Amino acid sequence: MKKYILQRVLISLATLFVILLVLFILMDLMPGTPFNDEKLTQAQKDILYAKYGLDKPLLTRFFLYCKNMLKGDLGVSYAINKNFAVSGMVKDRLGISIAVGGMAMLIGTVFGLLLGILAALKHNSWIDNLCSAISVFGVSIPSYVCALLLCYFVAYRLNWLPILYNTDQPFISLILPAIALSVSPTANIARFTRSEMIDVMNSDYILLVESKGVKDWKMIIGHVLRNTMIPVITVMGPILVNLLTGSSVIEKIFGIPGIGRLMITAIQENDYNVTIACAFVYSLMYIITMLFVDILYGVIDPRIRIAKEGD
Amino acid sequence: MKKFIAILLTLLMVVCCVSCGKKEEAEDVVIFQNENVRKAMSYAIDRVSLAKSLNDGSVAAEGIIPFKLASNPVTGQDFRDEQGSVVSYDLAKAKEFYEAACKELGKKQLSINLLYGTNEGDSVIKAAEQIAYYLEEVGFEVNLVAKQKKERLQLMDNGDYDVALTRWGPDYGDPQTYMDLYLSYNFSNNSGRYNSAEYDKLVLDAEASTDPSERWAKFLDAEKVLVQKDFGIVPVFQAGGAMIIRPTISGIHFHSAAVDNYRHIVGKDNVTLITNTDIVYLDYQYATDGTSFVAATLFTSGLTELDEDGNWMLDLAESVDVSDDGTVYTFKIRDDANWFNSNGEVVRTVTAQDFEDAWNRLISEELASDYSWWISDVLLAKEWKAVDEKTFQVTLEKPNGIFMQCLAFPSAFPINKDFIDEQGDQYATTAESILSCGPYILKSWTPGYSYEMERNAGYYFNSEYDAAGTAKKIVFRVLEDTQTALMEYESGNIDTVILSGEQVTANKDKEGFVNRLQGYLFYLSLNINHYDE
Amino acid sequence: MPNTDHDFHHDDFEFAHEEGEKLIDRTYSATSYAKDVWNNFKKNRGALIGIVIIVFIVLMAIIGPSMNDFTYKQIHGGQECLVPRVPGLEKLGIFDGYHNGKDQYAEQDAKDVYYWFGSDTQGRDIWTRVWSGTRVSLIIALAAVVIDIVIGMVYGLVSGFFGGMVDSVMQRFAEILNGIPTLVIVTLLGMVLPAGIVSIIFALMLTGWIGMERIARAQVLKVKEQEFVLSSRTLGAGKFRIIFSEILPNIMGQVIVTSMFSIPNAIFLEAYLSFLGLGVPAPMASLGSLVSDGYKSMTTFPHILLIPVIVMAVLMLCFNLFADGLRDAFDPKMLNK
Repeated sequence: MKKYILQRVLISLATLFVILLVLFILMDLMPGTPFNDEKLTQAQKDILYAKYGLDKPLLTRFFLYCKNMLKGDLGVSYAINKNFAVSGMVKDRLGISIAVGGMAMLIGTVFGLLLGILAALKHNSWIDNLCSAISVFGVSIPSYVCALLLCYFVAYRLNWLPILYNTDQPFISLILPAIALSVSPTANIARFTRSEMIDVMNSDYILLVESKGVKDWKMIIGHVLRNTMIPVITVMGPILVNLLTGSSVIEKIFGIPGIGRLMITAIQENDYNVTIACAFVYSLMYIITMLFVDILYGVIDPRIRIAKEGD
Repeated sequence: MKKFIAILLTLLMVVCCVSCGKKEEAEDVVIFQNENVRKAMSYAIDRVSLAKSLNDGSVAAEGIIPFKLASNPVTGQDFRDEQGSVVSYDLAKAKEFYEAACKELGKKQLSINLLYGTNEGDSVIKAAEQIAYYLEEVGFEVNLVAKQKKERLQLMDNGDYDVALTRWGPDYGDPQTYMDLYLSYNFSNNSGRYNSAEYDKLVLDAEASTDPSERWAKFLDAEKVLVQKDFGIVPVFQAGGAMIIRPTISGIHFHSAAVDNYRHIVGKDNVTLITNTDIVYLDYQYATDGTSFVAATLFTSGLTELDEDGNWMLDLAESVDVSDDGTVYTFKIRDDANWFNSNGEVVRTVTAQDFEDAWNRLISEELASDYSWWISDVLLAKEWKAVDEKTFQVTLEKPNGIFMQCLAFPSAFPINKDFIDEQGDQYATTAESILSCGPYILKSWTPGYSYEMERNAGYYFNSEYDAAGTAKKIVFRVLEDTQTALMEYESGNIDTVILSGEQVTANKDKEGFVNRLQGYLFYLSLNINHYDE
Repeated sequence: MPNTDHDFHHDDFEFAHEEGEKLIDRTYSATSYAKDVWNNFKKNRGALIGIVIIVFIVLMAIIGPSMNDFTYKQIHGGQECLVPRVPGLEKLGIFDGYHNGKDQYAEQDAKDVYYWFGSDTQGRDIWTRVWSGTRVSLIIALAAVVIDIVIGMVYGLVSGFFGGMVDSVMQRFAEILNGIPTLVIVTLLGMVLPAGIVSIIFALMLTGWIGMERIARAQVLKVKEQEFVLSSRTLGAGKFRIIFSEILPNIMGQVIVTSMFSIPNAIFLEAYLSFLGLGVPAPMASLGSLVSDGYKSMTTFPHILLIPVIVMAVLMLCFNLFADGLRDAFDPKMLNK
């Protein structure tokens, strides 16, 4: 098992390196430059290019970037907050996005699993239909519509929660964005749990457990859920990454200075260093999550665990 | 096997896409050299209906010079009022010109690509759709090409477009800020390479002229040549800005051709304002955007500032002497003008040397400021020096009617060179790493969230500010979404809100509703001669 | 009488059932797999309703835009943001063109005009735009499902089944592709590709299948060690035979359900793409772009948002009912019951 994990970690590092290189090449291909502006002359643009070292060949810049990155230096912003250290910009905003995303994931997982399990246990009853309808609406109504509805009714009309994000009461003012963000994950997880659980409950080993006389709830937790979780975790991984790296629309609506908004602006402004940093944070989270999912697989599924130990 | 088919399919798609792309590029490249095409486009657009449906306070353009930009130096009449409209909407005429153009070019239908930016505001997207509709009414086939702003500018720079919906924001209140754009050798702004000897001569003569009314008359003629005679560009609309300001507060001075002045807000001690964009750069010599400039005018001061009507009044300068020929200005800087740090402590006094340093830094190549031309091209200054500690002298190339008003622009503000040298790379990256010499002090800045200004207790003007009941603290909250902003306003947490066109109808009767006119003029840039490069 | 000769007699055993009950052995005619699926599907009432509504919406997408005199891009200056008004229904007090107690149509001098779904902020007919938008979105939805199934599922199947080195390499490739944010990739596509449906499908093809691939792979990992695969293998079945005729039917249910969920993602991705200049070129509409446009008027003229959202939600609901029916119908375990 240890050998397997070590091997996976090394491969992940290599993958990250490749992603970074690809990102660098993509940035180079991006249309426009950070300095396209009505008020700048060509001569000034050339000066800026030279000043930031963008006139050097791609590979030189790439290795310089890698070298600086190991020192924790992600370069400076060219367009969003000129000359700001990107590492600082990303660090400040990532924390908030992780907070909102984490809350949303928690809500999404709890409600998603509950809805899914309930629907599967009462398969083909009205509860099942209701749960299905909720999850279908959850994915077909965009999160920004839910967000504005919540703002209007919960915050504006009922005055229960603040409308905008507020640094004075970060937790309270992040509840609404987290709920709005969690709608789609709830629906996805519920839907997936339901169909997975129905599959598991129809399988022969559950029939065996049942005939052995294991109590209902014990059977559901110990046997059905455990086997349901394996594929569910596969879906949850990418959802988690997407939530943690911020949603630009939700951040826009609630005025949250998060990383999702930063990345969109960076792409629009062609701010290379910021775009690469944001994208790399995303990649890093994604790769780490995938690594965890793969390892968790082994822990939850005895068959895979044994197979890996045999390696 | 299925995988193989999938790969094949992918390849097929790529080939399809590439061939589609090629087809689009093979457009008529010279149609805008035909005058009738340009005329047809100009007559086709119903600018009044278009501006009305934008519904955000925008107005139909009547020429390339916007309303309330500049007024006649002698009579004081607005340029636009004096000139009248040089564009008109006439569907029948447009169709006539279109038919004629088709005949001359030997085509059944003329097809054009209309380039516009998708992240330049909702009104741009709406306007582009409407323009396309009006052009199609006449007979054109219009493909809308949506691009991000930076890419749009790149395409225009390369001449890789037919027609583009673009805009210009005036830097100062004079027709010259627009007229310079279409000089035949202005390759940075004249993307369509409009080329007219007559226009060049009029503009250059005007700029060389020392007689203000002759200069003015030549600008009037130049606009007629550009818009009415040659149809070199097609003006569309002037941007508006609908907003609600809490009725209890007042004193925000909006200027369509200068930086808005927020220094004199009265009616409330703690004011929270909405801004839909964040500060880009605190270093006002480097900044290019309105938000950064508004912030800069709060925490720093120049020799002059603008009042409600856009007239200049002295600020850090105590007095000014002008030589008889109008070319040498001698400013006496106030004794009580000081630099303050973010805690409000006096660092040292503001000297004439600070102005000299500032202007030298602005034009220096290493700073590469977007406004490096401000001193020479707008102020027309050729020499500037600190005569003694508090005396600053500027020599102009020739008399300049807008000199004093343009000193109120942040690019002409002083800097504290010692502090900049001390801070190095960190200068102007946080509230602590910039000095203040204005009526407010930047207390904090959280990028993407908010920045706070607190009244500067040591500012010379303070007693009068106190007497007027000027706001003690101004918080700018960065928020892009107009719908949550309106809810927040109605809950009483913020004091201004910017409205989108969709919200205006329902809110225009509310108390505090303002329809301000902005200086931005949106026009169609036609690619006349920019193909062969 | 003791039975000592260990022979069986006809009365040694008797039916445990009640007297008089008859047990009849039924014989079924052999049915094909496809027919089994169809028979099962027919029994599911929800799925049938779903498919009827889908057919209806598809029909409306085809004929809806030509049912009145408006076109999707026709701009009517002065008739912006009108609420729905339908002849006939207006007498009942609904869809009568009143907004906040005022007759908008009379105010805008449009007494004889009927916008069945109202008009948008530029005075365009929403009815026409919604149905022509539905047409675009249905094509995108179809493409999304096909891409999901063809690329995602096959990739996942192969990767999961072969395992080892093949799996590792294929997974790293997918990780690299998915590790780069979709936005960065599609922004670049915006430069290379012209705006239009082909480009949207291409963008979906680059990134859309990865979610499905992971699910398909997870399913394969779960199924491939099960006994029926083993038995097939011992009987000498080839690898591709095992993949496509043993494993595939067993994971089909999950695959179909997942692919249905990728539809709204694809439709909303399209709306975002049009912002980047890659989606359907304006003034053409799609459900996604109608929703994101309508959002701006949500607090003032909610009908502009509500109508496309409802069409979208109903469409999704029906797709899901349909998918559920398919899933049950395809599932071999359900077939045996």
